[in-house]
Amino acid sequence: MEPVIREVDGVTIIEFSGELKARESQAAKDQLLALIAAGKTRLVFNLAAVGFMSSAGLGLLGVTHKQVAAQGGKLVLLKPQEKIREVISIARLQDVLTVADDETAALAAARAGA
Amino acid sequence: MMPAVTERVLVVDDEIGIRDMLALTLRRYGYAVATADSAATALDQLQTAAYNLVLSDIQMPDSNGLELLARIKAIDSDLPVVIMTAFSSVDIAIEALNRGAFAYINKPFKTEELRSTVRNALDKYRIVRDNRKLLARLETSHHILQQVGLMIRSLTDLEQLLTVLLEQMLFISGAEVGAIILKEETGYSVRTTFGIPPTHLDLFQLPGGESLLDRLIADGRPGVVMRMPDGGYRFTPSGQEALDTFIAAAGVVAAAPGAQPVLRNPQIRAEVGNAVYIPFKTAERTVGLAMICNTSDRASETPAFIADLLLVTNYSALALERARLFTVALEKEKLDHELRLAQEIQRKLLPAALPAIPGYDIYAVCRPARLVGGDYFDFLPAGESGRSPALLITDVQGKGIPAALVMAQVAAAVRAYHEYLDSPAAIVARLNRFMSETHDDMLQPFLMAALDPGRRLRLVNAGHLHPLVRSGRDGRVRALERNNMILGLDPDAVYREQEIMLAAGDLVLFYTDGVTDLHSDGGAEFGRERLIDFMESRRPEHTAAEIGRELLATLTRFGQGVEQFDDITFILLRIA
Repeated sequence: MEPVIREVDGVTIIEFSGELKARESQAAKDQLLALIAAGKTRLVFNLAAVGFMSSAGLGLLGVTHKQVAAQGGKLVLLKPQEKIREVISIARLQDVLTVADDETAALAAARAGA
Repeated sequence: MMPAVTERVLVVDDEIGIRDMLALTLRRYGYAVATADSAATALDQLQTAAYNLVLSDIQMPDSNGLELLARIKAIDSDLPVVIMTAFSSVDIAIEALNRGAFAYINKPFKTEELRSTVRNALDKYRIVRDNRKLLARLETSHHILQQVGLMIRSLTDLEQLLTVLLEQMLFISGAEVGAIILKEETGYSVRTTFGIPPTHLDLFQLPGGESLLDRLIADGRPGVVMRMPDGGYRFTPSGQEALDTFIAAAGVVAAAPGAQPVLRNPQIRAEVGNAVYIPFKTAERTVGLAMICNTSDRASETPAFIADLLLVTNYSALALERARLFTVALEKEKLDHELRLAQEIQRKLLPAALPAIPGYDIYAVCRPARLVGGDYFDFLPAGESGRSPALLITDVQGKGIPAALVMAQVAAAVRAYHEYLDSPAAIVARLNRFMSETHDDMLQPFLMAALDPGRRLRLVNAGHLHPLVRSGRDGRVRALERNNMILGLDPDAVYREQEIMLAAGDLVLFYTDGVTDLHSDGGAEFGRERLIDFMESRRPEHTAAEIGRELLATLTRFGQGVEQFDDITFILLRIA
């Protein structure tokens, strides 16, 4: 399924679902780069409905973070499932981006420093 | 069998009594009759109206029947002429037969003789006309088949073949908008279009929202969709039905019952007059579907054009399938070639032999997936200045040749850094900077450990799965849970070593996610728990090689029946 994109108060929320593997990551990457080029650098990835993330999915998080950070923006991960939390934790992604448990906190974190 | 259209007879005789009698009789038989009192009048009438039969007196004041016969034949060589004779002109009558008259009847004639002669003449004329039309059709069809056949013979290139086929079909239907789609495992792919963007092909949806295109390609059936005077669209699901519909209505299309398609974008209603869908089918499967929009009025009036389109698709379906399979085979060959190359690169990069490091019994293996998954490990030799030997294990993101090439870069970089940097932490930090700057869209888990004398490991874990350590003393397994940031995320990330003191009999396992993510036939994952169980159940006296081979066997049994998706890589250290 395609990610669902919506905007709330200057923050772009992207809802992923299903599996985040190579194919989905590649398709999403093009979309995201376009968004970022259009100035949307405050992003929240809602991962609540993502059951599996491959190294390609992790790579997507990495490249998105680097792109928005380079433009003074922020990437926040919202409600990752247990297994994905583990992957994020082993990679120590939380050192550079925020992991939030509810949308309000996610939006606040995404807006921080704006 | 009476024909649908009233047949018209022209009666030519200078005697008014004969003319009127014949006209009356023939009208009673159901024919339309016109009369002429001379050859000249007859010829005038033949120029202005169409007749199915001429019934003419052979002897008339202004010409004999033979002249008139010749003139009639000049106008329409098929038009039957029946000559009426008196006994005195039998010779001329026979001559007329020689010159193409259908028959002669003698005056006075019996009405039954008149009736049957007229009937036979008209039937013959109708048969000759139908025959001519059929022959013309056959010639056109033959011509089409010839054209298509020529193209098919010489084109194995799928795209070319499709383009040329579409052109033929547009020509046949007098249309300027069309497309050909090919059936895939799921759904279809748009292969060639003319006069319409590929993204706009899905014109209609069925009640319930299903795409008409999806339904037709799934069913492999022809269909004709037409815009009705009320602005809505009707659908005749069967091509044969459409054919019959066209034929029977002779240009006036009767709507047949069936699901009514709805135009997805009402704004283009004026532009979409009709859409004809014709499948390409072989005996085994539906290969594709052609869509032709807005066939010309000329084409729509003659039912034959749908038959011609079906002719093209039936004839070329096999060639299309052959070209498609050829393309698929080519692509598979390219992929196989890439797989072999990637495996070759990985094999060359991986250490050819296991090192002999005092105090450590080592086993290491990488069993690649068919599409190489990017796992790599290496052993770096001890340095002259007392620098310890080291091991590394890593999993490059991606698959195939791209991953193999990055693997080669990483391998070379680490070896170079190892020459002049002392500590794993420094090497990993340097490597991280290199990865972050060179490959900005990849994250890479990486683990390096220096094997110091005195059973000490100095370990830097950059986002890699936590190694497992089995205590030689009590057999318990623990994970080494400290880790630093994965490579490639932050060029300035700081990396810290972890010192692990080991004891004799300890067993250390470094592994990639190809081990824990291994799936069984039933969909279960091997997982960390099973790995820990395996470690716990090892005997301290077994060598690293024995344990390593046993682990490989366990994994093989677990993953039986499912193609291995990712490289399986692990390093076992048994502390002497």
